[in-house]
Amino acid sequence: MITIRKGHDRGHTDAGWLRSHATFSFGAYHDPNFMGFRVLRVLNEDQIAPGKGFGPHSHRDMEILTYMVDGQLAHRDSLTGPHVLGRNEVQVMTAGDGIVHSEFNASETEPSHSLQIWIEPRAEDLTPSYQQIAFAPEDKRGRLHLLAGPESPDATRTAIINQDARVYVTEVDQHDRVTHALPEGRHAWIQVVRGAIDVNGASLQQGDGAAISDERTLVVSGDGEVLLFDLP
Amino acid sequence: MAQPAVVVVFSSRCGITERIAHAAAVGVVNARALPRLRRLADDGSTVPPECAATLRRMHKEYVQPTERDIAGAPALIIVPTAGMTPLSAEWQSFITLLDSLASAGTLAGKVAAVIDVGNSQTVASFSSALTARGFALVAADGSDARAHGRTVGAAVMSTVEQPSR
Repeated sequence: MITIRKGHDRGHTDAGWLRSHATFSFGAYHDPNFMGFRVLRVLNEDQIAPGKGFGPHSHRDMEILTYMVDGQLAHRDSLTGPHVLGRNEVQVMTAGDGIVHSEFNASETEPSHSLQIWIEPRAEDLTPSYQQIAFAPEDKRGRLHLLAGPESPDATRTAIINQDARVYVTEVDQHDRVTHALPEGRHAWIQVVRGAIDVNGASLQQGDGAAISDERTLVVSGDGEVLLFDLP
Repeated sequence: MAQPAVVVVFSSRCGITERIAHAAAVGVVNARALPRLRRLADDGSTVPPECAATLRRMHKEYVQPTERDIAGAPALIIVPTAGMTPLSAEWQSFITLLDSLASAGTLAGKVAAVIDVGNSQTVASFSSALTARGFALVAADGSDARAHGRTVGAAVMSTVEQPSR
């Protein structure tokens, strides 16, 4: 079963310096029908004006991933930093029992465009941590690249998250068909980062998402970039 | 259940006191309360050249505390730069803000703490100023800013009404 969440139906915020689309309820946007999917709690697409950003604020008990679509984000937190996150990089922050961080567009001239993802952790009061992983653009072309998961086959290419969830990215063109097996009891969320794709025959555009249950194989084709969440 | 807020007010020019304020804020989060970090405006004095970039960043990242911040939070944590007192230029307008709230009775029942940044006279002077304005002081429970922040967070969480069955 595939349930599409159209991009234009998401919660929209325009604060001038920030334009944000929330797939699930977040901040002032609240819809009891969209409180998350499985352990995926937040999926925000943020466009931040040059030099602007979120001042220091706190988080607790959440696995927070940031995936850059365009531009750069400067990150500082109570553990480490500063760090600059760019394209073909993912950042994973375990908020654990408490963390304070800030994130700003690192450029004074170009906007930044990113996806922020919150995944519920397997337990409360974990030890906070920060990871930043870079990968080669070709790693995601025509195949799934594992950005984050509960274990890392290669710590230089995959971040570890404290949940039995896996986050993949792939970029397909008209010649590609990328498949992913979903064992029984597993679910998936697909989020289109750019372009237009088909997943098991369902057509999705940039900004669209899809909740997927009771399907054993996912086939992604089309021309675009997607994040695939394999969820318990 | 709404998370009670703890306003963490600090002065910092080179980022050292900022890090201590962050540690106190993490302690507040540890206790499941919500820290709101606020940096005081500069007093206009020059800073060492090596601090210029940090100062520019802090100007961008923080806002100053407002009456609404303090009035809306059950707790206040102060993180002054070592050697400062409530009469120091950076703190005077904030103390005036507290005076205004105290005269309106807005501070009654609120708790506060002064984080020790390594200068006992600084802690003593700010503690006296807060007590005089009606705050109940929360003493340090542990040797560092994070532990102190956690104690303040726990104090405000204990006042939150627990849902009954």
